[in-house]
Amino acid sequence: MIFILCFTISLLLVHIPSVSYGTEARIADFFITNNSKDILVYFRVKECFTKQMDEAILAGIPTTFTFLLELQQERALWFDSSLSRMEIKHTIKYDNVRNVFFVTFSEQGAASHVEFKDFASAKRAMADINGIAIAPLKMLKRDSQYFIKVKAKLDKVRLPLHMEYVFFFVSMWDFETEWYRHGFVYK
Amino acid sequence: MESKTRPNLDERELRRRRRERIIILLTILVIVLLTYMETHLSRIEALVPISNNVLIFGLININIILVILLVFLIVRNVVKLIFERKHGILGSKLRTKLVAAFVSLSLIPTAILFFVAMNLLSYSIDNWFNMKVGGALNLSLDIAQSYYRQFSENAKFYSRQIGSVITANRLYERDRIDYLKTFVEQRQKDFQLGPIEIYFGDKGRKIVFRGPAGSDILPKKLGPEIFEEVFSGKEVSTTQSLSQGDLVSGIAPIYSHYSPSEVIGTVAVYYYIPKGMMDKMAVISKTSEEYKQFRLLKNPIKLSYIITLLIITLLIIFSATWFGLFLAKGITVPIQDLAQATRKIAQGNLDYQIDIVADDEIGVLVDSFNQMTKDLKISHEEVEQANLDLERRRKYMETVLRNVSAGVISIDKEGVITTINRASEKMLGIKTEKVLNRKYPEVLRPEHMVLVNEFLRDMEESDTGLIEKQIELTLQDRSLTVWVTTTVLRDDDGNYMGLVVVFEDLTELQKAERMAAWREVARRIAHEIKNPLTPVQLSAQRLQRKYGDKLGEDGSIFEECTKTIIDQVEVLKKLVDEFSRYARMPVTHPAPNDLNEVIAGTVTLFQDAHKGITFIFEQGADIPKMNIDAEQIKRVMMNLLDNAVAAVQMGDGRVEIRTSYDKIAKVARVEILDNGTGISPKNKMRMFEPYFSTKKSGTGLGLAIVSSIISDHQGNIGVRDNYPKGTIVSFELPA
Repeated sequence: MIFILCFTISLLLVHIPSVSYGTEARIADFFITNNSKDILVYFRVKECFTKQMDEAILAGIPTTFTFLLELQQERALWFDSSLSRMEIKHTIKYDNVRNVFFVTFSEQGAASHVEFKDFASAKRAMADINGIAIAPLKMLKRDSQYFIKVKAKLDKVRLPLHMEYVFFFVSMWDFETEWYRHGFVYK
Repeated sequence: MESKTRPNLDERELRRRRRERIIILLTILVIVLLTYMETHLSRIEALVPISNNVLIFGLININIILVILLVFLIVRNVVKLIFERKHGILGSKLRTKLVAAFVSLSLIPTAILFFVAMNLLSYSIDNWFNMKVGGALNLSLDIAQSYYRQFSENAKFYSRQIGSVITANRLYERDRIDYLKTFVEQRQKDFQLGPIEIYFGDKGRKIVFRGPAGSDILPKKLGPEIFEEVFSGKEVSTTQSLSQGDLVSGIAPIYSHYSPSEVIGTVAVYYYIPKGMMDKMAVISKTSEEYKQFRLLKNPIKLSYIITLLIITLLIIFSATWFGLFLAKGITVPIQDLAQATRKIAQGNLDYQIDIVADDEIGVLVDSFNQMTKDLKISHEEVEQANLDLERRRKYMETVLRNVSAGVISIDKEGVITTINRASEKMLGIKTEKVLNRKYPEVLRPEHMVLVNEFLRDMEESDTGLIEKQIELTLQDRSLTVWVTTTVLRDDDGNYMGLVVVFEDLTELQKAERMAAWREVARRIAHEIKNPLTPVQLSAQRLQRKYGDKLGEDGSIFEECTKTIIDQVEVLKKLVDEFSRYARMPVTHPAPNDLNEVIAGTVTLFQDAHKGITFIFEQGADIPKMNIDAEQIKRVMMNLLDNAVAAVQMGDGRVEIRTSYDKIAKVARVEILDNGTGISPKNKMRMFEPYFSTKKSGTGLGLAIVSSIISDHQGNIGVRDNYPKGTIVSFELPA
């Protein structure tokens, strides 16, 4: 009986560490600029797709990246002030009959999706944030210190028959980057 | 009993509550920890509503907590059982056996079932994902894909063909528009094409030909990126999903007749795929997707089923263990109580009752035990009462036996002396502790064994089992005349149990009888002899006076004879006087006297008269004045000293006189010790009798008179051997 008990515990213990955070996904090519009205942010998530994720997407599992963006003003001797906060979602879904990939961009509206004929382009579109207006320029004061921090993570995948509830501890496609922080002074 | 157990119960209850609080605290901690872990690990809050999360977490946590609680309780009980078994606590062995039996009975089939089910499950799951199913699904998907692809290629082919005809015949020109319409409609009709759209210029003219199949179905407007692509010379295919079905398009460029590389327009040919077909392909698509997704989850699904099976197996085993423990407890607790009750009863607490209420056989056993205890208590009380009665009777018998003047000795069938009363001790001069519970041959002297054997012989010849006999017993320092009654003891069934011997000391009685007889004899002798002696003496004297001178030479003979007569008559007279004095029973005149002084006078007389003998007088201190007749005591001393002197030899003769006083008995004791020849045991018995003497010239009345005087003083006299030689004569006088 003790053997069985130990066996069960070891199974659970072995199983829980099997939670994988994917590869070392990271924020890269970060760039801040502005147009006449807004502050625009560009960045890309690298190393976010694993082989298992590719398999899952090709198996038709819709996969969503959530990008968290936050603009904060630095304040001496006090907590930083949050000026703007955004959450953007990119969702990829494979159509196996037509052999195309649909990528939905929440920043372009809920019904907006782009069809990609090849997987590589779809993955690039999933990982890229191009010119997101994080805040209007008028919110910024000149010569003040600001910073933008961004983070990307993979949402829990939806499994068939709601099995994500059963395998809540199984997440082979999971990833979450560290917060990427980039400071700037508005001139 | 209740008052004793209540504090223990309270203490136990407090301990139990403390333990419960700890368990609750730990459980809460576990819940918090698990919730944190699950939240951290799953992060599904973004996907599903919070209510679902709470429900799932709750269910999972409850399950985990229940399993942990069960494991805790089982492990705790098992550890407790091991501990109890190690310490040899009553009932632990039985409990271990029961638990082991239950675990074995459940473990073996459950384990077999578990492994069989696991293998079956594993085999079944592997079968779900076998190659045949996967291949079939892939082929279905390929067909669906080919169907689309075919439509797409056809659309592109016909758009290309129409485009080339328009280019070759310059149908794009405005004045040939009718030819164009006729041509397109003809093609639409010939090849069963759907809607056809023809664009001229980048954003110029647009001619739309509705398809014959569904005139109401119109394609959506093409996006600029498609036009851009087509105007760059590429053929493009798109799919538009409409409510009625999908429209698959093939879009080809229209080149200029005069400048063949210049794209001046586009031809889009649409194929309509009806909804029924679309649904079928959607089913194929979905099934294929699900299959692939399940295939990805093959191992986790397998694992989850195995875990479920394992948990069920564990639950069965734990339940069996728990049930074993519960059942064992149900049996062993009453056994423990019974054992404790037995111990208590063995310790004498017959009021102990077991407070277990049960409807089963244990309850019957407990009731029987309690009834037995009650019966035992009643019996015990009866036995105690009987013992008390018996003890009382025994004590009464002992008292009677102790106070009876006759000596009583009992011997069991093994010849072991079992009873000696006080009279026996005193009479025979023995100590009970030295002879009790010992066999009589071990304690009797050889000369006494002769007597006993004689008795036993007589006993064998006797039919009544009763022998009565007077015997002379010679002890170490005295002789006794005893009347011995020996009776055989038999139980109710007539079995031989031993002997009881009753002694009656006849010594004093016999002595008194003898004395009385002798006194009577002496009186008669004195009376009968004394009277004729005087005439005889007077006659002899007269004969001497009258004929003494007349007989001449014979006169001397005559005188000698008459003198002899006169002398012997004188001797006879003296003898008669002695007898007369003995028989007269002289009356004592007691007066307070100093015993030492009285004795000292006599001793001095003897010292003067017998210089060759050493006289030592050790006077005892603290002897009070005593009521004694000094003259008679002097006479006693003279007689005793005379005998002592006669017994010792001149030169080394030694006579010691000791006086002492026993404060407890309140008697003065006088001892006369000599180192003379001693007295044989036989003579010792008779030496105080009249006319018993070992001396040639003795009358045999001296010691008889001494004994008489001492008796008159309410005292007693005795004789015993002196060591290394000689005799000790001692007498005691009451103060």
